[in-house]
Amino acid sequence: MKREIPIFLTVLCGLLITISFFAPTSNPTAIPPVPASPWQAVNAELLEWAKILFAVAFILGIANLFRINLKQIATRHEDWAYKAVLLVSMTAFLVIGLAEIHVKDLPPSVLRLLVPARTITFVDGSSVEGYLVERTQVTATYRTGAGLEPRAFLLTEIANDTEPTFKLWIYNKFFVPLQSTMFSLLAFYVASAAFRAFRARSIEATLLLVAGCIVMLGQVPIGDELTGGYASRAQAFLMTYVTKAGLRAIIIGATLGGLATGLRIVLGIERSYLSE
Amino acid sequence: MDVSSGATWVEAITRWLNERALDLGPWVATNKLPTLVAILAFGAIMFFQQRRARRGEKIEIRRINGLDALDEAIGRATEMGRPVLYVPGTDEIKEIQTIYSMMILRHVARKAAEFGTPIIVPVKNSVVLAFAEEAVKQGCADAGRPDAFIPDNVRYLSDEQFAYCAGIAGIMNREKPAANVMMGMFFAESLILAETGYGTGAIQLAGTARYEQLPFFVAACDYTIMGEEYFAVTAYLTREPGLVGTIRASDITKVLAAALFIVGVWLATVAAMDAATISDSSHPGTAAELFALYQRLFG
Repeated sequence: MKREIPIFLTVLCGLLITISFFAPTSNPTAIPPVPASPWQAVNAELLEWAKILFAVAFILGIANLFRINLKQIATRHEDWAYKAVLLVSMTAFLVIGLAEIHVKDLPPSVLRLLVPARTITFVDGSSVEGYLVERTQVTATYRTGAGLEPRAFLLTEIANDTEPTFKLWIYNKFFVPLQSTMFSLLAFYVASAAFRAFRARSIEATLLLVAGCIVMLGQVPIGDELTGGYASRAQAFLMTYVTKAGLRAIIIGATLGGLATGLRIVLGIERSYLSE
Repeated sequence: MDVSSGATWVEAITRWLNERALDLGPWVATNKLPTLVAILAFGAIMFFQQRRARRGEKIEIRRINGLDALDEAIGRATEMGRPVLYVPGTDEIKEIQTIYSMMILRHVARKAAEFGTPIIVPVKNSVVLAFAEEAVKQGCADAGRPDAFIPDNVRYLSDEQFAYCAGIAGIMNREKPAANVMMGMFFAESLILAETGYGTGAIQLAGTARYEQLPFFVAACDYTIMGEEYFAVTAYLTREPGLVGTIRASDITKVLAAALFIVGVWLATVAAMDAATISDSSHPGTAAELFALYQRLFG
């Protein structure tokens, strides 16, 4: 039964999703109007279940991260300091993020420590610091004052409300630059990979080199200047006919391969993803 | 079908189709009917080919150098006493390439366990983590070496693309795996991973059906498994008749699709040539009508 039940569930869910893909989507403005298909509701329900599964699985990821890194810190692995930075920053970000979500419930001292206050400027020019609890179409409720008591203000009274979230600040000041640094490495890697790929060691590599040179010349104005406009035309020919033909061959093959794999899984033919 | 009253047979087919506009209720949207028919036809070809393969008919699969090199790569890692790194791509488990990557991982883990070489699997998604742990555990069990499974070697790094990429680059530089196997869905990080791996001197095998990333892998890796080859890996490695039959089915469907393309191109060309010579636009000509019918059926 250890294999049969997962296979049954896979086949059932696969068939339900496939049926709902082909079912008509609701379109009341069409002539004649298309009513909502019950299969769309089944699809939506299954997707909700998938979202819950994904959310629960996050705990697995965090547990894995903690288990492996704590072990390395405990055994004083040579990179233990980096592991400690990882765990501290992850925990801090998690705590701050949770605090920002639970502004309504946190005690004042904890809230002041973890979440920066907003500055609410009123139409009369006065301002006050507080934490947004709730916003409706008419009012905004903030926790303000020494005891951070909830207080509602009419939106017409408020001129400006800054939103200095600490979580966003950390994200923008640390994470985004680090991410950009990784991405910018691509420029150097493209150059080094192209240098190796363009070495004319065989007929194929030579063709690649020639095609690459033509495309590069066609991309820049000086290419057309030097060749009397032929570079961009040759580039367009290569990209439109030669490259696209190869590309479509790869896409068709990959699509059919993906479809065959999908069918194999949905029909229970491919089972190597399951334990014995 | 009525071809009387001066109507051409193309007009008669079109009228016949119009009169029998299918109303399949809540089951099938009319505009998705051609897709459904194509998938059913493909499924029928697949079923037929699997039966032939199971009856013992020999189906040849051409050599895929990248897969033949898998043993060599893992053997090299064993000789050097260094681990194998398996990167399952950066997409979620709902992506077919990621699911397939898990199946390939099981085979790679089996080979690594047979050679007694540790395999490191960094993952980007926590659902993939659960699948990867199971695949490696099962691969080790397949090799008769369940003790070869090291839980700490299947590592969740980050859900963020470049944080994950930086984590793998770190593993490549610190733990110096002798073989890097990258199979799955890759995006902008593909070249960063492949070039970092090249820098560490590892033998590199990459496989993806994502055509945008293929040139980067071809340029930076020793072997690249591309497009349809990627989905043939388990069939190639196991030679299981049921799986090999599906490869033949894909090839037959490709030939049929190519034949349809040729017919479509020919019809479009003749229709365009006719349009240039026929002055009366109210009677577009047989080729144009046929092309319209073709577009309606396969467009």
